[in-house]
Amino acid sequence: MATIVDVKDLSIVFQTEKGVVPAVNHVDFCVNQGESVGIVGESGSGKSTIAFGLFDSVPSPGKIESGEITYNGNLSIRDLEEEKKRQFYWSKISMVFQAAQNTLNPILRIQNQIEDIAKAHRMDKKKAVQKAIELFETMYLDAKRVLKAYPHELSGGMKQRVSIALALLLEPKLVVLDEPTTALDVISQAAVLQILDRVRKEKGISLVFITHDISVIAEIVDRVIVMYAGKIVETGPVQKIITNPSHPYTQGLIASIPPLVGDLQSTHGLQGQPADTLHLPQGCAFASRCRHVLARCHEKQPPTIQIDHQSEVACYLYEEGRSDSA
Amino acid sequence: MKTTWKILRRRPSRIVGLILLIFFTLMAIFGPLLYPNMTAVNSQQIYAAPSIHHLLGTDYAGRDIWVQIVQGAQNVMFVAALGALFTIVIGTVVGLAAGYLGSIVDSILMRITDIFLTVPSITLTIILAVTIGLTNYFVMAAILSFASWGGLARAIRSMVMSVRERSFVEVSLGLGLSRARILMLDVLPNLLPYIIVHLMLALTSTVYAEVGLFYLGVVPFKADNWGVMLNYATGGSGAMYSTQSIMFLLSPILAIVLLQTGIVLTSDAVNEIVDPRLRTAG
Amino acid sequence: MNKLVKRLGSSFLIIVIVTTMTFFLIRLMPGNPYQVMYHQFLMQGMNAQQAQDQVRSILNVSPNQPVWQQFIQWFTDLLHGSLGTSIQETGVPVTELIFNALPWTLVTVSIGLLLSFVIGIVLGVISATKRNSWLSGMIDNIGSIAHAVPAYVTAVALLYLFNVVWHIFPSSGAYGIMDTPGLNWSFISSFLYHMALPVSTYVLTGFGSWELAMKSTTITVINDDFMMAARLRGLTRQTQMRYLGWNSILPLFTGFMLSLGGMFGGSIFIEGTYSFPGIGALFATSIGSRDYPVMEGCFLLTTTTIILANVIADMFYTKLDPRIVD
Repeated sequence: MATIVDVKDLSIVFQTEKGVVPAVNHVDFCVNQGESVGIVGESGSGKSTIAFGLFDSVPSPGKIESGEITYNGNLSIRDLEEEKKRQFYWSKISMVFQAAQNTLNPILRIQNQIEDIAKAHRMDKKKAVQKAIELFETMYLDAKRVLKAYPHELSGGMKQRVSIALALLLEPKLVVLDEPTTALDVISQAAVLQILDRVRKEKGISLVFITHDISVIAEIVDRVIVMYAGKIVETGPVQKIITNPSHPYTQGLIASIPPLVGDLQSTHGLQGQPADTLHLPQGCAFASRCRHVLARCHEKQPPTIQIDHQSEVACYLYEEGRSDSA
Repeated sequence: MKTTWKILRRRPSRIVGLILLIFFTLMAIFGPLLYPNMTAVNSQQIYAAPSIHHLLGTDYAGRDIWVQIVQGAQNVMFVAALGALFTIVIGTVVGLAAGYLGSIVDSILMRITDIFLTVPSITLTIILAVTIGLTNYFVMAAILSFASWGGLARAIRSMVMSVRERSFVEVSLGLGLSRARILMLDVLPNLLPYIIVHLMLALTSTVYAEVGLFYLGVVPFKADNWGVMLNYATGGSGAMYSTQSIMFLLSPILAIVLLQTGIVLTSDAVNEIVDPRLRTAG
Repeated sequence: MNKLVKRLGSSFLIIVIVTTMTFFLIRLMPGNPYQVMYHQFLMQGMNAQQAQDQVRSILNVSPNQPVWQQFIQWFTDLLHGSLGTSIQETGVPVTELIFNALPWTLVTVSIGLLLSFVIGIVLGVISATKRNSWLSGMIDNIGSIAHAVPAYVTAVALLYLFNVVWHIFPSSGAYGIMDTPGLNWSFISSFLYHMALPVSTYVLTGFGSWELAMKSTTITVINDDFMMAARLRGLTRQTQMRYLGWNSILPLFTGFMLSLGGMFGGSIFIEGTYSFPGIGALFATSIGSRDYPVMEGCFLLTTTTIILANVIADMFYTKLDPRIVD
């Protein structure tokens, strides 16, 4: 399988008044063609920042400190000049933004906004609108009405679906979806995810879902990347992560999903507060909340350990020949 | 205190502004002590050039210009401060009452505010000043603030309405605190930054209107004021058209420009001190 | 439509209230011209009745008539389209004086407002996009100082520099004495020449508030989600600037119309300084000579203009901003 995007040693920092916050800390991952990947983590884990990192467009005061982001094996986005990058955006990689309701120009009809995208990417305006109508219809939107509407005339859920349709408009190779279903009710949530899954299979595009709630995307992602305090703590196939998580953090995350049947009390989620990214410890950031914490967890960052050919975890518990006990 | 200094230092212009403002304030406070008497007419010294004896030279009647500027400062500064204060108090009280009491009080107060907002304020101020007369500082300040509180009242009202929705006010109500207490303890402190910023704005516009009234020459010249000097310099004295008398024209102009500059540059810093959202790294 | 009628109704009410109040204020001014003339006639040896009749025949008002009776007379005249006759220029209808003065003020104020708006907008955008740079700080400071320096000070300074020192522009009047107003080049060029200083004064004292307002709306819009989305959608730089510009300018439009009121206030000082024959100068002289009817007429006119501008601004704004529905 061809690799769509390869991220190597990506670090993103935020310069704040209180100090430098490492939002994304030496992260490596890749996304293959046609693959659907979920990036999961608490707020502050750096997962949304990665989305902007993929565009090499982290909003100020954030800044990419180091790393390489390579598309199709040879195109390094960080070396792209402005105009090339502009053309690359949306035609090759697009995004469904968190708070998608606010990502439409409030004083322009949806149709004009579609035409603006078409114009920017040298696509025939009529064709673009036609394509949008098709997409709207698959999302159960009244296409005629939506085209003529101003954003404020649409409900939050409708705007979210418009935003998803816009992301698919130019049939990019990769679509990043940052909490794409937050504004939707459970029924539309399922419908939208199904549509995305179908489009992916039909067009062979890759999807990157960014979410704090693994249960939402469990059915449509192939692989999951779990982040904690700016670092990847575990990756693996979705089935493995859900049924047999390795990292104590992932275990807590999975355990905190309310079961469909049974008592709510039986869930035992995570203890403590999310990591303070401004004052990261020298060792593992999760150590203070970890139930299996070891002495050296506080001293040194755990290495990334290959569990099987598809799964990796960054935890001392899985080190070969570990000597001391929990 | 430390942040204040940091904010001031970020832009040197702010320090310049603060120095100017302090300079004119000191002038207003100590000026009358320094020069208690009107400067004497001296026909030998008409339009004398600046010298040790006459820092800014003399006017058409041979009077010292610097002394006039210093003596005028008290009138200008005191009335401006008082007028701005009146504006703020009226605007805040009306805004708080309308926003917090709501219903009929709100609609009546806002109708009145609307009227004051639509009336051409300078025109109304001039008419009032001529009719009532600028008899003393308090009357002057009252007249100057009469037509200028509408904008603040409206802004305060809408802010009160949004603050009222916030949870801590609801909690206070739930705890059985009286409305007046909540207004004073919870609502007002939240609006304070905005009110302080508006106070600086009101200062500049009061100086504008006050000096302008005297410059126009429609009110009797009972007080020493830079506007009176400017009126004479551009009018009867003919100082405008002779290079020899430039200091008489330039002095009141510079005094007004520097005072306004001082207020504006200081308020630039005040803005940032009271509104932390404006603070940015770097 | 219904709303407009209601709006005009309440505007009319405000105008009536305000002009009534000012009528009484004005008639209470010290130095009542009717009384002054009456006493002059008494001094000339007339008896009370003769003097009263004489004043009445000249000024159409009995000197000892109570103010409320004067008001009723003035108001009845007003309903018949008359604003009375001037005291200073005895017998000349106030409407004639006003309509002679109005065009000069309207033209200079409009040009001044438009220029200061455009300059302010441009500087505001520059200051917002170069936020936190020395340039931005300088633009803001210059803008707010220029705004805070009273119009009469600016006017006197310009007059001194460009008339007394450099002899570039004339010191008074609206056109040369050899010209007759009309559509001839000689008049128009002379008019432009004469209005250079007044218009410059409006611009210098006016642009600052637009600059600051535009800066603040622009900063808000720049940080809006839809602008970030526009960039990642790869919209052309032009389109992005269009989005930014319109969304930032829209909130200023109401203020644009409302500032007419402030400009009329400024015209009292500016036209006074340049002896420019407009409404402001007319008002200033009418106060000096206690020309009650002219003062009342000027006040009525400016108030009406401002209130109507208000109504028009609101109507205009509903058309411009799709988010406002009436």
